[in-house]
Amino acid sequence: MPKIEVKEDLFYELYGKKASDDELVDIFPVAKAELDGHEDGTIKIELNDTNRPDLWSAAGVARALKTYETGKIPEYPFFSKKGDFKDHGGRRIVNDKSVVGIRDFSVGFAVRGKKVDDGLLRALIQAQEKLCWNFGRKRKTIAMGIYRSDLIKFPVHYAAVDPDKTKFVPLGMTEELSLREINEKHPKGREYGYIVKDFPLFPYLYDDNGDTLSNPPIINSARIGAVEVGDSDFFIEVSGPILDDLILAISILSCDMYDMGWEILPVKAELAKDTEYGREIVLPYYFQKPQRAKLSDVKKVLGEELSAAECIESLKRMGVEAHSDNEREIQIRVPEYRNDFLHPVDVIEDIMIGHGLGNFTPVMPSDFTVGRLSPEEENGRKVKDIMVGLGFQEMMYNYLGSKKEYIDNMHISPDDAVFISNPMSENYEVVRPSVLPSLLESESVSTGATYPHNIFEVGKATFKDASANSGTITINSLGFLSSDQVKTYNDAASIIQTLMYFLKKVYSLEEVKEDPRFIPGRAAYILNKSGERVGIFGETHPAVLTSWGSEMPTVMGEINLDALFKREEIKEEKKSERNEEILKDWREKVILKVSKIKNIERHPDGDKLYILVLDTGEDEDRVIVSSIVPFYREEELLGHNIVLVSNLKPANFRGVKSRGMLLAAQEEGDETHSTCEVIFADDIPVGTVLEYDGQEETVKVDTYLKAEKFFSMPMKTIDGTVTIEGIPVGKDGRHLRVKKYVNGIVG
Amino acid sequence: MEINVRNLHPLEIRLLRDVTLDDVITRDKIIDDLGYNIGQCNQAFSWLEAKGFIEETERTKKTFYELTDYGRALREKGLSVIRMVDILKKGPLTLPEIAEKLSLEQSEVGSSFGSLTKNKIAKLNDERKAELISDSIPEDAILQKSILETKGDLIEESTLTLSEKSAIQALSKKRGASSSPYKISEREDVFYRLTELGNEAKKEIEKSRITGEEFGLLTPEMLSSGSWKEGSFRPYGVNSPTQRLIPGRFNPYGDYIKWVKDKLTSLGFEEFDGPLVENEFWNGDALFMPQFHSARDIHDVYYVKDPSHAKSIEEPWLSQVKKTHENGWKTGSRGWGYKFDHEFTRRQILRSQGTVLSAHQLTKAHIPGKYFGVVRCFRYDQVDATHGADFYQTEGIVLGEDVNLKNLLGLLKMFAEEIAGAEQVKYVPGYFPFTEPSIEVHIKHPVLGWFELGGSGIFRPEVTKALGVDVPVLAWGLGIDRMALMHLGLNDLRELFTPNIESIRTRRVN
Repeated sequence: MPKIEVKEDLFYELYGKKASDDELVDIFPVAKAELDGHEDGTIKIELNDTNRPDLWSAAGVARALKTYETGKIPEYPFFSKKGDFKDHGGRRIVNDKSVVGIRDFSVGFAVRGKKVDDGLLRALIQAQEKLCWNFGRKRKTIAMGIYRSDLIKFPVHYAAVDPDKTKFVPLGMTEELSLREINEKHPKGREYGYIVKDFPLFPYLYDDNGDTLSNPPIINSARIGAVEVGDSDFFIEVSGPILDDLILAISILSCDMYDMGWEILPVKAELAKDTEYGREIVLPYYFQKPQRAKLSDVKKVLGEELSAAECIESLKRMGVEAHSDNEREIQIRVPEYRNDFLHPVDVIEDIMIGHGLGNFTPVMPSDFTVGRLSPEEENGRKVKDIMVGLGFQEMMYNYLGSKKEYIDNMHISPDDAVFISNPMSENYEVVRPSVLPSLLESESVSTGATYPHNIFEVGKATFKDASANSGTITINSLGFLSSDQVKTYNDAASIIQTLMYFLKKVYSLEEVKEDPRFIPGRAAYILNKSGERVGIFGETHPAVLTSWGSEMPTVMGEINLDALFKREEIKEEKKSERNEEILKDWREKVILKVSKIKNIERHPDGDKLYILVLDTGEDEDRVIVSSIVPFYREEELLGHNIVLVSNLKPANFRGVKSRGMLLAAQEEGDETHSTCEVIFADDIPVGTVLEYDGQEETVKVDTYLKAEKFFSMPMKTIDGTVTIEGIPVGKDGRHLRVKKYVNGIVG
Repeated sequence: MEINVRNLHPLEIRLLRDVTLDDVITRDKIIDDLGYNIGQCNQAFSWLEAKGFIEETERTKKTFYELTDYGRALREKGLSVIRMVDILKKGPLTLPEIAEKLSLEQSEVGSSFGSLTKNKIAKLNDERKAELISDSIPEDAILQKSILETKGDLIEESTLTLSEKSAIQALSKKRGASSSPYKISEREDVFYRLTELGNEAKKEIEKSRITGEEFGLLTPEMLSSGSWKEGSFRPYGVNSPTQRLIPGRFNPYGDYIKWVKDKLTSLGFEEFDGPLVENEFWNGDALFMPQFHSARDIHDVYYVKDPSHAKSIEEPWLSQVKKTHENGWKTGSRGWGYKFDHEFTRRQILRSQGTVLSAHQLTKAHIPGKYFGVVRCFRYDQVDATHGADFYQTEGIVLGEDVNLKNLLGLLKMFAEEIAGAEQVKYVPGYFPFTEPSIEVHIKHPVLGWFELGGSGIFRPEVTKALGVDVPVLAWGLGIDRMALMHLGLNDLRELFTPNIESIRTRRVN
């Protein structure tokens, strides 16, 4: 935001009265200004409207306030307009065609009749600076020079010249330098030289005697361009590539100087190329086009019915002349010093300010809408709740940091990180690619904090992703870290296990082969159900800890929550469609009971058959027949717990009635029954009825289960775990496991 | 003086009850009287002494010889030297033969034989066999035998004669005594007496009928057996120092943001979010900030080094925004009147304002609709107490057929009251490149006084129409950080994101 300072005497003079600071605080908002300070006779003002350069001067602010209070629109009679040029009295500035393409235009005006004192001089220089720096984009589009007109012989010439052959003594120096040398040696040359340095010729301004005025946009000459207290007659010139901006700058400055007491003298500019105003234009020049606003739009935007007269009155207080031919529309004449009415809403805003904001009553919007958190926030909260329950402290970090922190200390490659091309300092030059370095930074600054340290953050991380439109991806990520005298992989694995259990996420682990952040062999990727890597955790590599200056064993991990939640939501939906029928049958009709083999003997009439006596936890023992003689010796079975399909319909095996069947795994596709692995359940108590993970309360159907029905519900072993429809079977977190046929079928 | 005996430990109470002013209080006495073990004795003494209830009168050091298991075995079998003399009486033997017959280690046979030769009782004859010269037994051994057989398992040094002392020393070691008959240990005996204060306490205890037999911990066994009914519980000192616990906790700043989010959802707003990397199109162009104009310099942004440009900008928004900038398109505006730069618009930056996400939301919003985001933004600023490298902005929009300035004021009033607890609200004209009109809301906060709570306005038609929205859209942003700082008792924005664990662990909210 532009800020200006003005001597209080000058400000009160321009404002037309003295005012207390409280009064200024109250009135300033009509100019979108704020009182920034008032000390030692200087008033500091901050201007909020970056599209109102006319307000960036003491005269501009004072004019806005005065007009608002008096309702009297100031008049500036020295403006020329289309077809009505004021007398320029021979004052001309001639643009040579050599400037086209380099810095196309130079225009100006002259003043006389007021001796400049210290306060005025400062106000002028400040107005010039604000226009050139803020509005003129650091002199790129507007550069301004103020010269002593009594030393100038008109016409002034504006041309592009050889920067090595053209020389003059620049302001602030005593020796003659070429334009190129000025770029290298003069402070202003070093600051603004870049604007012209790549052109073969540099812009140059001189009078009809050949005396230098300046080399825009760099520096004035030490003679004509040296303005001092006591001078009264000036020539003001602006140069740049956009003519409208230059005309507006001249308009603003001429109005300001007129308000300060100068007489404005028009100057004719002879341009080097065609413009919408022709090749010759006398400045100051009124170039604005009228704007309008419909009364219906006024009501729609402001929510208040205002008459045309009320609107016109309001606009007048804003210094805007308006009229209406009917009760439907307002037409305005844009003030000389403004060019910010792009759209009717800009008129409406001036009506609002002029009418007084306090005259609009607040009304609540009446539409009903549903409030809702984002899914990312909902998921993040679930994760945070669990982490806090696990005793972890939630941290929050900056997302911008140094290469040292995010890359070097982590011993990783910078290739995937998002760097900033214009960092303010090397402390803030990379967007963090992971939460882990932030957590380790905590370790490095918290060695005095009582251990163990258990910290986490749910936050964002950004890294490259060639498939995205931006070539980057921002993820929502959980990072956690735990450090103490003893911290091992298992500590981290337990955290992951607990987290996943309560988030109801099925996952598996895969050893990390190579990641410099972790100790080899002591880190794992977290895979979601589809086998995609969604996270990583393990013991932090000592080299990483050393880089961070931490001397405490540390485990850490990170999970991409977007991947964890999004992917599985889709999968689970699919699965539930496919499974529900079978799962319902299975949980209602199949009774799997853990039973102990109490006795075992060979069937007298069957080579392959054992007769087993089972303790099922019921009052009576159970006898079953099983054809597993080729696979197991008696002593391998006796005393072990097996899984009995206890409500299977009884069947006769060569004269012995078998009341149930034991579960065994076999290789998938084994048609000859040549593979068999009895599923033992020695860690589950006898009598336990098994269920699948997450199974709801179920009332079992109290009938025998036919063998065909049982086999129509295929149970499988997946990575060693016995499952129904992909869901592990067991009880209270203990799952049935096999060792041999780890991806087979169960029967 | 008031003596609170209820805070005494049972070990102290029972001891005090046991002793009188005349007693010499020693460890042995207390062990005998009360069955304390040594550790309990020492604890009771040190506690009572610290309280001034007993005082030390004397301390003496004593040396003890304590029989080891090996010594006990020797007492049964007899000393090797004597056994050797006995067996040699039957005729000469080689040393290995002796070892075998007496089941002794070679080394022990060697040392015993050494002792016999020294005392001229035995010698090696020409056949290298040991034979007796005399059948007397060394005096030492006689003494040792008598000590072993007559003295107890624990011998205090002062009860021994000088010659006994030297005899027993030959059988003793201080350390590694498992192969020696005696282990030497030293013990300091400290003598205490009851002080007047202690006697007062004793009287108080007797008066209060505290026995020291009160229950300490309540155990599961006491509950299952019901034994807790058979006595009373010892009271604890309720003001005793407590142990520091380090709980799992939410981050207090995060908690504040959560509260703001919950507040906004309760007011009917739906949350939006988005990536940190944006492009000039959404960050500025879509908000009708001209590409090459001073308004664009309202703040500077961080540019992404690689990829420096987005692959493409979504249509039809790109074309519509471009035309709006150039000539106003169908928005009713005259536009900015310059040639839109397609290269510039794809340039990637870090999101510098939350309004970017409001712009994105316009393309997918419902009407009526209310949306908000509390989102991280990045500004090209020097980091100091009032500027962070990155920070949260709270922003949102309200879409509706008939929303207008008065609704905007109503909304701001609601925020001021609900979120900031404002006592008074003041509206002043503001400026934002993408809203017209623009309003700032200043509030009088009960603690912070007057400050600017936020900026707002009605999106310019150049913004909404170019993004396909034909109804008015109220846009607002709230500066919640000042209130967050006050809430957390901080005055430096950098503290909100401190990595310091202790600082976060101990941070409390106002």
